[in-house]
Amino acid sequence: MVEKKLLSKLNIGEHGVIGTVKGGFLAPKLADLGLFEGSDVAILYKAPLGDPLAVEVQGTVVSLRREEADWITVEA
Amino acid sequence: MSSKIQKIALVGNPNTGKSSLFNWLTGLNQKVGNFPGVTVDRKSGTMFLHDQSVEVIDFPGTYSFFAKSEEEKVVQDVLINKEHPDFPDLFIVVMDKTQWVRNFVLFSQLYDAGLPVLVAITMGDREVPFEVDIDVFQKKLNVPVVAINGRTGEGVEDLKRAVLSFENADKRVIVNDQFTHLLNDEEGQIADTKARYLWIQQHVPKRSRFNSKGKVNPLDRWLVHPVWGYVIFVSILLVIFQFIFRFSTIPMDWIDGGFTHLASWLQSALPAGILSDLITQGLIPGIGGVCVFIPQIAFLFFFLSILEETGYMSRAVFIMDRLVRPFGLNGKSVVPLMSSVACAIPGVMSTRTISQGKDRLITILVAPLMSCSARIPVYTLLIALVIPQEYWLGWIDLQGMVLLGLYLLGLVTALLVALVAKWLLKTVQPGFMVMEIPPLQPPLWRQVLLTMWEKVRVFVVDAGKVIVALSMIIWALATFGPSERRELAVQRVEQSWQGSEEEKEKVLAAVNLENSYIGIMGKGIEPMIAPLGFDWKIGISIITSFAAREVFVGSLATIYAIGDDEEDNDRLMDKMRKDVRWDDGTPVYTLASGSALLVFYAFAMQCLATFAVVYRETQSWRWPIFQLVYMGVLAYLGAWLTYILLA
Repeated sequence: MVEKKLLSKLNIGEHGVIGTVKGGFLAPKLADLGLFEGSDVAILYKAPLGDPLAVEVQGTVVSLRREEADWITVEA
Repeated sequence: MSSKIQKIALVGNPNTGKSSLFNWLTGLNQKVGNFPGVTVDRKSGTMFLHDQSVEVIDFPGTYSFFAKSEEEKVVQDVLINKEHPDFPDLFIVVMDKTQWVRNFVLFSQLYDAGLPVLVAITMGDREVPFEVDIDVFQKKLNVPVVAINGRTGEGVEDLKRAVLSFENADKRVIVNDQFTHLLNDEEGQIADTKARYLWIQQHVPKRSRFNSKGKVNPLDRWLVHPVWGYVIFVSILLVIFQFIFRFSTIPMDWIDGGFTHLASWLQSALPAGILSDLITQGLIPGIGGVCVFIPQIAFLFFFLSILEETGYMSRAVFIMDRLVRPFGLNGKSVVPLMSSVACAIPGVMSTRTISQGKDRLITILVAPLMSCSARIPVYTLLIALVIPQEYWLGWIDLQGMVLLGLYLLGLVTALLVALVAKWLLKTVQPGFMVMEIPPLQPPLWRQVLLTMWEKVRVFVVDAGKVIVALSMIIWALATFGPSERRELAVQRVEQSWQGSEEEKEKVLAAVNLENSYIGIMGKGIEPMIAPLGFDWKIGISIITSFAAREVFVGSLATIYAIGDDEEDNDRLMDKMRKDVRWDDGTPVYTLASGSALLVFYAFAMQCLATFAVVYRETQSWRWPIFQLVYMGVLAYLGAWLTYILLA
């Protein structure tokens, strides 16, 4: 069964497909970097306290603060 | 053969090797300015195509036509306005071989807008372009493609040939040619971007998904490790400090000595008079005061550009971001602030990488509070003078603790001011830090050296003018004064003098400074600074040391008639220790007044070069003046409180 989660809740090494992106003014910026509905993402590493976190998306690595990652849901 | 193309723009995502291509095309024929009205570097240069010279403009790294930062706005403004003075005859879109799925978004926007485009794909040493990539552009889209090796420059000549033979072919539309109407439609922008990603994924089906399947480079495991990551970061900073504190003093002494020799040679060569004084005492030392910063700037940017080039910088930003965020800073503020412990000038210059305007401004505003190396001579003198050489608990050196305390005072105050500024500088957008982390790679040395060269040049040319002008004003104020008053004072010395000629010179220098305009100002502000425990001699030295903090020591030496060329602090300290107030006969330098002065120098701006660089980096006088005032107020209140508490 497909499970919906916040991107920030994914553990290191887990991956999934992006469901929704809220983010307001940041959503177009996230889209530029490949973070939009339907993209594959994987968590590569996290800074202490899990914030920020680095994800792989569209063949590149992007770092997000946890609050920014909270705007993104994934189906894992 | 001559081409119609006279102006070329390089555009592309950040981290695609665009700057290195720019350097290959233009070599040292570059100049750096600002795009009008914004603090975004406008790099342009000249490239030679056979007999013709072509202007090349290196536009800031851009992810999309839909601008999200000042840098991207610059590119957007040019793309939609064919009348723009920077609108080129040809756009070279730079794409990285390993990331070009994402790089394709910007390319397809330019293509759909019907702009003349040519593609340069950058790649590493042992890489070859995928046939399928080339085919997409050449066969499907009818766009010329050239492969470039950023390390060896291979392909650069091919690119020049492609520019020469460029013909604007008939274009098709990839996704949507009406996207420029979406500027105020965020949903539409997202849909447009997504459609562009999907188009390229369909046309290169094999590599559209994960490159590394979520695998992390083993080196990265260390660099972002919760313990080792910080150990590595601190170690790198220590190496950089070692160079800046220890090794840069060697060339700095050469420069200092060189200008002193030049001045004294000119003094003997030129006919004596006001012009000779102006040149040898005003202009030459002023230029020397600019050049003396070159080693620190060069060393710092040597290291910083290695960190940028290798991709390490974004790892450091990644692990530091959370720690400094509560203070209104972001991870990118950390290296500029740490650099300011060596010298605020390169520190402020290195804030260019902070793309969020508010975070960048806050970093610039607080950077000079970090205890820089120019404060050390002042601290050393005053600590030795007023702090007793005692040991707490038998082993903690009190003088050392005070010095450490002053460094912490600077750091803590910088963070607190940043916190206050975060509240005061309200912006519509909350802070964010969505950032690409580029793959690790060995540095391109050519690129590192060019960055060094460019930063030094920007400092000398842009900030140098302001520094020379202001330092000459300070010199004039310290040299000239109401003539009657000075002559009278000089006469008194001449008539009553009984010591050696050499001593007389020094006394005359002291008398001259005392009766100059700055001397008069120093005496004039005495009532203002008396509550801090300072007298007019300190007043004069504070005014003259606005040129640079370390001037404080030399200025006091002149006033105490010791001669400022002596490296000998002992005699100066002896005189300072014996100095008493004219009104009540108590010592001028006590624990209270000396500590107040230490705190004053911890906070006060007191640096012409920083003032000039902040002007250059913010493109306005408002911020350097604001900084001068707030740091001055902080210095005054801090010194006053210290004096009251210790008196």
